[in-house]
Amino acid sequence: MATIISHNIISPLGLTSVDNYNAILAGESAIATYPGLHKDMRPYSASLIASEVYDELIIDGYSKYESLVIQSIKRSLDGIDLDVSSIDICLILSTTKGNIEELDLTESQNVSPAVTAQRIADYFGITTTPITVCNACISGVSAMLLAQRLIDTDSYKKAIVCGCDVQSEFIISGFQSLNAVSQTSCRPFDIERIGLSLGEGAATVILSQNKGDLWAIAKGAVRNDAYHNTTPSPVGEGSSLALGSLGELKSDDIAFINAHGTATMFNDQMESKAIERANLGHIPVNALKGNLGHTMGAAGIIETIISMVALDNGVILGSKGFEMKGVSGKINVLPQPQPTDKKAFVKMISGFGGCNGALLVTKGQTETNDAAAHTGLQPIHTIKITPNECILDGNKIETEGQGKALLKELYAKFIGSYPKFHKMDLLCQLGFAAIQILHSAANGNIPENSSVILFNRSSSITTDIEYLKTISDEENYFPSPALFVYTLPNIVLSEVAIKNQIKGETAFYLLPQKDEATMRQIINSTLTDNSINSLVTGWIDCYGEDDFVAEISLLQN
Amino acid sequence: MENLINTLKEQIIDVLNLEEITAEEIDAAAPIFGDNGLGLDSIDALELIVLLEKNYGIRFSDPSEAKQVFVSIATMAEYISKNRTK
Repeated sequence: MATIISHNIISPLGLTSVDNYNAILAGESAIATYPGLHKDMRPYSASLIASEVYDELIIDGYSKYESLVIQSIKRSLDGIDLDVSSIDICLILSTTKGNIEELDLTESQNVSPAVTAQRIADYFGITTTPITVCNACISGVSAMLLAQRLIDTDSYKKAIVCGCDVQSEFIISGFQSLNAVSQTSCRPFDIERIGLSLGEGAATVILSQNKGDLWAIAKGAVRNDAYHNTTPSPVGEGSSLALGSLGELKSDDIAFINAHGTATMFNDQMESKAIERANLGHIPVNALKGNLGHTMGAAGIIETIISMVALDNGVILGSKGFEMKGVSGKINVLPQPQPTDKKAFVKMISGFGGCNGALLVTKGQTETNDAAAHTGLQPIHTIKITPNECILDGNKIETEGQGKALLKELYAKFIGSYPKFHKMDLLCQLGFAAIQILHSAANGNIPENSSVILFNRSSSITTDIEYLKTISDEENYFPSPALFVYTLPNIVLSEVAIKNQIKGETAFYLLPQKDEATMRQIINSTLTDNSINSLVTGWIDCYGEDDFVAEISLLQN
Repeated sequence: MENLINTLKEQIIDVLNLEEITAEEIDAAAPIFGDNGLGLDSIDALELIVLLEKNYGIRFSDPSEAKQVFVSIATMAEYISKNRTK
């Protein structure tokens, strides 16, 4: 079992985990209202790190984003004896948009979080391939779950997991175009909630094999709604499945459920239904977004650390901004802190791409995981698509078109009657076409509990540039909600999940290069989730209409 | 009004990438959303708000107002003709 041997949080409320916890316990919030970044944009609420604090944190030659990550990892390494250059240590970065603030319309190759992760690894002298989890807002939970699995399957002995996002015009305008941002401080689960407050920060946990009586990720699961790219399932489908995967949870043991609680109408309502459906309505629920806003790729890690520190202090934290319940699921949201002597909690999280995560986090429990990855899965069909050709199981499919036209031709030939295909960005069309061809090769046999795990280097760069164009002209400033959604590479997973009703784990990982050994480690570690007996996985990279590749396999028993 | 309706149909097809339907096939009086509509979702609705702002200079003070406007192409055209600033 992997335990957490060190942690750190850098946020507007403080530069250590304990400072952040104390501020939240005292009811502090870093959220303020800022004027719109363009004359036509509304004000927005956000929890932002002050520029004078940034002045202290910025490291020469590194961006704001990279500096926050480095500073958080540095602080978590303080006081523990760790040879980071060891081949037994991996770096896992969790983010939604990483260095996106640095993107300009002329130079596009270097903002991929995969490249950023390599720069961070090089800074510390980490020698193994850094893994970036790009699973939208659940990335932090996905990253900790991946670390725990990689350690349990003996791929590494230790993992440094850092979640970080910084706010920029790109993200702020995007969430505003989705009508998701509140102008005032967010109010999780409250009757008057009207949207989220954005947030920024970094948080690190260092996990290690067998370190005894410490906090540990005891169990975890990720499940997809198979419902919509951005709207969560109204019945909490994926979220309740993820909670259900944690096994029997007794209120005698579990102090609380720390919800995602973004304070959007849809998220909080969905979570309340998911908790009720999983028969966990008797366990108190809290949410921390009212203190720190939605810190995106950092949220899962920040909120897990705060919850651990709270229980170490015998406290269940309240939910700032919550007064009167405004969700229909039967749950018990705590407005104020209360004492407890329990040493376990559940972390819930959900995000775009239909993904939902749940972790059971415990301290001092000796239960070990059954970490044996089942090995019976074999590739039964494999497809490769490039701008020039499509090859299924070694046989070239007869096609005429090139690039986007080729994808359209494959759509007409193998899919058809799914107009949503034309709304997808290039990365999604590529992944969708490839996986639907695998689906037809397997006679439709990709069952509901299948898992979809994809990798690339480019993240969503082509759509990042298209979205940036919509906010680059002062006189013609119309941030496109549809484009913004596709700036998350994991949207390809919900497109595939919705079409085929796949509700198993979905995950998107970025690597600095196509590294088969690391991909295999990640896939094997995913198979410790014993409910998976069918897996769609592979490499899907896209730099433009004449430069893309998908190499994806369907693995089954 | 007929011209505006046709222009609007073309703009919607273009902005929402409705490749498998032509302007002639869209009934201006039929509901846009819902099972028998154009297969649009909540993100499409947000893109329609951008379309109105960009092409006709119409800004909704509260985006939920758009609901009453986005009933059919005809109701949209009527609202545009009364409220357009460009």
